[in-house]
Amino acid sequence: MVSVIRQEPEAAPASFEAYVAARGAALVRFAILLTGDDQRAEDLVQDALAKAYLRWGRIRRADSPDVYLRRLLVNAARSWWRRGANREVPIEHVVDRPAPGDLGGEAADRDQLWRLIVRLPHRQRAVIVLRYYEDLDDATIAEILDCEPVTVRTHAMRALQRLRGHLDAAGAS
Amino acid sequence: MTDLETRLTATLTARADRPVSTDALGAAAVRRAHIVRRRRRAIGAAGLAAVLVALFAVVRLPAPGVGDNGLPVAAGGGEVGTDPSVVHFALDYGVLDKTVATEWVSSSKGYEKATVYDGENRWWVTFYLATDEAILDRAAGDDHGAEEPSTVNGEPALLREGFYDNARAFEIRWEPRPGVHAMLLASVNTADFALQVAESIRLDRALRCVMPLRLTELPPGYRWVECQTRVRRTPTAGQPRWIHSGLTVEQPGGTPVLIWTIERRAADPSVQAAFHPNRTVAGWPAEWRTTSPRGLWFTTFGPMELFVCALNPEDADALTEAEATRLATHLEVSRNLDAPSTWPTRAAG
Repeated sequence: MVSVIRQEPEAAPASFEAYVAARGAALVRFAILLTGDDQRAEDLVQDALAKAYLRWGRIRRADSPDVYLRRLLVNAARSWWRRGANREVPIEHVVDRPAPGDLGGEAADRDQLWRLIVRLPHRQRAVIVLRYYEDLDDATIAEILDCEPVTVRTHAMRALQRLRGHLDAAGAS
Repeated sequence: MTDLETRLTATLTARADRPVSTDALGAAAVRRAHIVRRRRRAIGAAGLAAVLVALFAVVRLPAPGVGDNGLPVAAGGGEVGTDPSVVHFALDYGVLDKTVATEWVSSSKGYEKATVYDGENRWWVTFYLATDEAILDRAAGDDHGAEEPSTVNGEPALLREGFYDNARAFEIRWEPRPGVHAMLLASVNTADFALQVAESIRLDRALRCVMPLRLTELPPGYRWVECQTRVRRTPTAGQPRWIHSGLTVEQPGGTPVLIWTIERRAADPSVQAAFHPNRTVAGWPAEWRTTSPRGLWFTTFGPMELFVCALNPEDADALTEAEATRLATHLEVSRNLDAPSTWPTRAAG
């Protein structure tokens, strides 16, 4: 198993620059998993950070920049999907396909699972990413998604059922 | 953790793993924030000026009504979902008064739809007409709660709430006339407002789905199947601002090919940096992309940007360079992007 260690900051850094230095990369990686597109992910994070910069004092006082920024990213990614991402003119390649020759063993397994993850409904995908990549508990995920923890559990259960169903079907065929 | 959960963690970690320059990220965000702040100040100043004008003069913007859907009225006739140049309904912007932009889709594949958006993507409403209810089932998905009986203009209807297109929304289904099924998906606050919107849709009108583009000649065996066009409302009735359009044609084997146009972004350095022209088509520099997304790309095609590709990524290889070039060579662009009444009445053929 791959162990994932993610440290949540104890308290929000005093300066915006310090926050970006500490958490910027993690936000971009989170956005990559929401959008499946590195270029757009960086764009969404820049946009979210710009919004945060303009009200940094308030966000820092509330001591929740991570929740605030992740919520912005989830909503921004949803808006982007709704506009019909596959119909937009490209500005850079979409890295959703495996490189030729990278289809052996674990890589093929990850590629198959990633293709199923990107087909999940947006909120289910967000829950999966927040739970299994960001390693957050249901209460924190609920805060980010602005819903009840029971809704988070429902999304997670449905997503896992859906993924299992597809994997079983693929295995059977 | 189950095996699947372990695999999920490994997959997500592998996919997200890449170096990120936080210095560049922070600097870009701060630059963007300063631009937003300047824009807000400019808008604030413009707003103040508008208030002052309004205080001293009666400024009356035309209230958009049923007749102002931004698209030309069609002569009518024809059946729902049979003609990719006509939608057989109109919206009432008196009810949808916060609408900023509308996307219209007409098709020959048994469906038509329109989606309206507010300015900040806080809500959206999509209305569908289809001749086969299965089309609506596929569009609605299955992530919803129990249904309740209701009515739309006296017709029996079903109302339910759930997640649609990744957002919480209300769904209303009814059959406005035999064999024609209607569905409204509305990410609005109350079921009452969703029902009000459903009742406001005019099914006694038809509009032309037009775009500032025309495919003058379809390759042999091809057929035009869908028109998609998005326009932004403006204070001037009947003069919406064009945003983007998509013209979908089907190859003889049934693979859909999309001709996608959007307002030109040539001044955007990130677009220019990504664009690597490797030929000239119809007099414009073009890039035939062999990596995803595969297709023929023009950052400048007259006043617009153009991308010709297979509609579905899994069909990417079905469109050859020669076919994409042929399609692009037979495109005519309208001079005035913001005057739908001057656009071709049929976008293909």
